[in-house]
Amino acid sequence: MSQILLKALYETLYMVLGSTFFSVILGFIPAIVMTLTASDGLRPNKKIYAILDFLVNTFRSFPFVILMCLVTPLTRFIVGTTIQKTAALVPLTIGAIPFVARVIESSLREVDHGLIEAAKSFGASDFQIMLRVYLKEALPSIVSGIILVMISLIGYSAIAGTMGAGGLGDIAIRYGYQSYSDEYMFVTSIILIIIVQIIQTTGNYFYKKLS
Amino acid sequence: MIEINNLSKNFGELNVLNQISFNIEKGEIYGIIGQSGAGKSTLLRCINGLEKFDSGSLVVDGKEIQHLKKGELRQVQKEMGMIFQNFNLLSRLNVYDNVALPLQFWGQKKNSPENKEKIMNLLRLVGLEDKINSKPAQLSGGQQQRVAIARALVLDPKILLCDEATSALDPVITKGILDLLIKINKEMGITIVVVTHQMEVIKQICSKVAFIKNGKVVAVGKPEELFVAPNKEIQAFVGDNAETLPKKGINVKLFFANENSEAHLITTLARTLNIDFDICQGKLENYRGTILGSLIINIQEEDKEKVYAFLKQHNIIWEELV
Repeated sequence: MSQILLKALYETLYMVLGSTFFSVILGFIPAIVMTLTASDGLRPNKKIYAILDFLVNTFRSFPFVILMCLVTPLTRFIVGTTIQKTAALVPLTIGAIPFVARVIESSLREVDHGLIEAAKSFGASDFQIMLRVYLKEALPSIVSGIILVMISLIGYSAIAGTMGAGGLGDIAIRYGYQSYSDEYMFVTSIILIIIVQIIQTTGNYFYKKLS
Repeated sequence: MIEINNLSKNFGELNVLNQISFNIEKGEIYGIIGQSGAGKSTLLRCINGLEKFDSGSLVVDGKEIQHLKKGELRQVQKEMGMIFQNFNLLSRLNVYDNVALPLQFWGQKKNSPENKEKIMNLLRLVGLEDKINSKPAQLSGGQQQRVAIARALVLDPKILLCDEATSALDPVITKGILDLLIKINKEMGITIVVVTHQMEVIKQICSKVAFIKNGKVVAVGKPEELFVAPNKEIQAFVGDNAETLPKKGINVKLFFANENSEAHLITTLARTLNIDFDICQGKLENYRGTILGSLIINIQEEDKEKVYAFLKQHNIIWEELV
């Protein structure tokens, strides 16, 4: 049993950490562009903002199960297969990008406009304002948003698990639910609770330390 | 140093600034006073190009601000420091790093020996050299504004713009900040433009003041001229109305708008003319160390001519209140 669980735990962490990593990198770009082009941003542009806003909303409105099926061709193109943990990274990342983008955008938007104005009054360029004011001030809030995304991704990874990705969700369904093993159901649930607690506590620690 | 000519600005339909004209000389502490929403903060932001305007001209040091390219505008902004009502310090940076930030915007290292010395000198000037590692949240409002002042001076500006810089502070702390501004003006020769709705600020530090109402300049002059003998607009702003005066006799307001505000005038008046009168209201105010004021007396109808002749003879400005 411990062998099976250990392997599943590894798969879950692989999927969650991997997709968090890629979605943060890819989600940052639309978040920054939306912040810049918002009506009170540094380079207001209604069209660009509206397009990105629409895309983020659209992709967030897909239930994850359906998104996973929809991106199957893309997954096969990138990874070469649609099962196993690495293949699951594709839908997990795509599902998390709009989430990350929205979380980071609202963190950046919360930065006091007075700070932006002060930076401008000293002749700062837009790039410097983004780097040294927006990102600097919003960092704790961004970290806490990414933690939120990570915890949601644990849930998504369980769904991916039912569709051939492996991981703790897969064990809970196959052994716990379909084979009526209460023991497996119980242990996987406990492990998931512990993971969530660890992630949240670590996140809170960094949030405090940074702010 | 700053020449504003027929400057107008609209926010959509709303006319925020209407044909504003006045000049600010080098080395002055110039006050812009008016009620909230009068357009004074917008005007201040036109000076350093944070706001655009629709017509007219605004020239700083011979450069028309509106015509500058982005890079040129940054260069001009470098020569103008600015402080704000809410201080606008970065909460995650300590005092030292907040002061160093504008240097970093201009590609300088915050820890180079010369910058270190410069930042420490500024923190000494504002009296916070022992707080370099504190975060803004650990400081009082007055201390935060001092950090903001040090930050505004770190690029060696020629002009310091103050936007309601003392409005969030209590009177004692305000006095300290104003003394600091006077010191900066005198010792470093920096021209200071102060936007405020507080009369006290104008009285204590400004050498000249423009009074703005509904986006228009309604009066320009020295504070002592404007406020000791105020016109109707300024009276309305200051809340200086005479409803508590006696109905009988004639109420005369005497202005002591120059150095000869002698205390003996009233007793001399009574003794020389041998008349009786009442003193209704009196006010003495301190304008940058000069005591100026006004006094309202109530005289008998029949003494009117005598009293006016006496006042004229003693070079006192007066006004008959009706």
